[in-house]
Amino acid sequence: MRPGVVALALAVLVAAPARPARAQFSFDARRIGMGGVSLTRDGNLRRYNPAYRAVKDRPGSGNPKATIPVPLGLIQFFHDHPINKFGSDPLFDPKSPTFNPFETMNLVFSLPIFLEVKKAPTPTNDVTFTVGRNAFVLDLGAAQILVPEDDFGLGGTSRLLDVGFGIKGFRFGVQGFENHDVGFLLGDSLRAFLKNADSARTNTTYNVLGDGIVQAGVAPTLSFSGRVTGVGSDNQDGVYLGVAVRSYYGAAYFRAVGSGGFTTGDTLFAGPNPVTPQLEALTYRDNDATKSFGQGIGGDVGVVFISGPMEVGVGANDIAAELTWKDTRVDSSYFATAGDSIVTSTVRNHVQSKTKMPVSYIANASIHMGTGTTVGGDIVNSGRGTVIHVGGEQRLGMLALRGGVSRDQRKKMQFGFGGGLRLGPIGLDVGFWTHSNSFADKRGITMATSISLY
Amino acid sequence: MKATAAAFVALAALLSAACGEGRAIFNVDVYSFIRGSGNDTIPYAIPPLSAGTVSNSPRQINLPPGFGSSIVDSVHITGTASLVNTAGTGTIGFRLYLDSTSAGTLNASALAIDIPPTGVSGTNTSPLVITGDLSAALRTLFTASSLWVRMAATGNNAGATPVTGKMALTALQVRVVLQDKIF
Repeated sequence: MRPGVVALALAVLVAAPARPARAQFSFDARRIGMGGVSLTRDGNLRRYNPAYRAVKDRPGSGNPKATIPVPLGLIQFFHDHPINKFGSDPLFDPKSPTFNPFETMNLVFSLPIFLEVKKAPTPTNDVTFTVGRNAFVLDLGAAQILVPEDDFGLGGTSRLLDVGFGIKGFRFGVQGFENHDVGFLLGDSLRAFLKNADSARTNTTYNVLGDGIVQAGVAPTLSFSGRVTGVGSDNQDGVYLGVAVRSYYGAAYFRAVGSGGFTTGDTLFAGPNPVTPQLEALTYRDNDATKSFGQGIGGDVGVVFISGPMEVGVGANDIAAELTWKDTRVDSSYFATAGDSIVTSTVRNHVQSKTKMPVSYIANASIHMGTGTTVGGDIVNSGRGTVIHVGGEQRLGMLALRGGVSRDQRKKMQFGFGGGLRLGPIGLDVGFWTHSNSFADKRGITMATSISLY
Repeated sequence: MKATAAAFVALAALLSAACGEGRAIFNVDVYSFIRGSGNDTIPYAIPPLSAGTVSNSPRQINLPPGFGSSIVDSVHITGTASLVNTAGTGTIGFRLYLDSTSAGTLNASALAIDIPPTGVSGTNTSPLVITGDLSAALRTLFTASSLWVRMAATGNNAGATPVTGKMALTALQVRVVLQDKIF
């Protein structure tokens, strides 16, 4: 049971940094072929920069009405893993001798929508254990690079719904929001054990520090987006401004801060000296959403500058958004060695606590040349790490050629290229995207295909 | 031992599984577990014109759990012992027996290492080098959660006076290489 607890607690931390950078950022083969950048005024631009809501699509920019992914990867997947054999498939059967939980976890994180035309070679790596009565050294070799030295995790903010009405640039609406963020940090002893092949020691705690939050609610929003210069001209040149003031009404939140792991005994490998599980956590939660909301004020701001073929934009969301929860319960949980169980008690109740919404932002630039060439790039931070995309498209009649590069959240460069064929209202696009494993330079290639309706 | 090993191995398994089809290599310092327990020394007393074998009691060694599905590529044993002879002239060898049960180590089929005899004489200390690879049949023992070990000293006395002394183990390491399927 105990190693199971340890494995479960650490599965997330190991999986997160080890996850290959093949998670698809879009179902649109055009974006994938340009390294992830979007050269049209949609998607991330209107999501993160409120000024773009006042900017119409560029004439002839090729914004499709809909994009439908062609899931060739699913065909390949179900060919390799027939549905009627899922029960005995080693990918899903933990009892199988070839079951690998990381492959299963990777499948969840990276759904095989698109076709893998070249798989990233899996690096092989020997792991050496040195075991003595009072020594335990684990040398992970090249895999040490997988061990995160800093805080790591996952998180983001979503707008679950957005209904409202507007007039003359002003808009009043109600948005649903959701924010989640889970961060981990290896304890010093555990990090030295894994990262530096330091010997395990007696009477030492090996743990992971964690901090996670999830909060959700609704936010009535008053926004304005409009053109502030060049009004009345017959082109789109000018400066566009977007602002939004949002009153947050949090319906629920839960936060947990603490550490978990195990503590070694007097002797590492002798006698009945089981390791002792270690768990200490404080949890915060609102008591009753029907009685009080978590309230706060925040806003978005964005600006777009367009001059002929060039445009530049900057936008940020959830600025200064701090929610105050007036009725919060704080619980303490810890592992009690006496009863070999987790003990939970309320340490404070009906107290006030505060949470923050992370600021997300985007900066973008593009230039549309008269030769059918469009190039652009963007920098996006949706709450955890910055991603950079740079790409371009060359149109040649019905054909389009695309290419681009990206630097992902792990600061690895990836490359995209592709093309498209447009036949009247229908376009067929294909994009190739490189990806790699965490500590290997060799890349695999995913082929994305999609149909666009214009 | 199991719980400590299990915790660390579970942790290590997560990382090693994440980095592809590598091998897990265990360097186990067996001597550190038996040093000072009495099991690291085998006294011998061989009457004149005879041969014989003496051994210590079988000892159980716990192994890191969870390797039941693994394939053991190789098991290499290295070590040293001192033959502390106090009287007589003869030869002393070393044998190591491994089995899944205590009684099984008494069987001839459990013989894992057989070091040829080394000559001893008078009051003298002679080094004995222990090295060898396990057969495929015995390698499978390392996929279990424990195994039993018995050490024996084999002696031959062609002289007219008894050969007495002790074989003192000074190092014993086991290197196990396996294709890990820890889960």
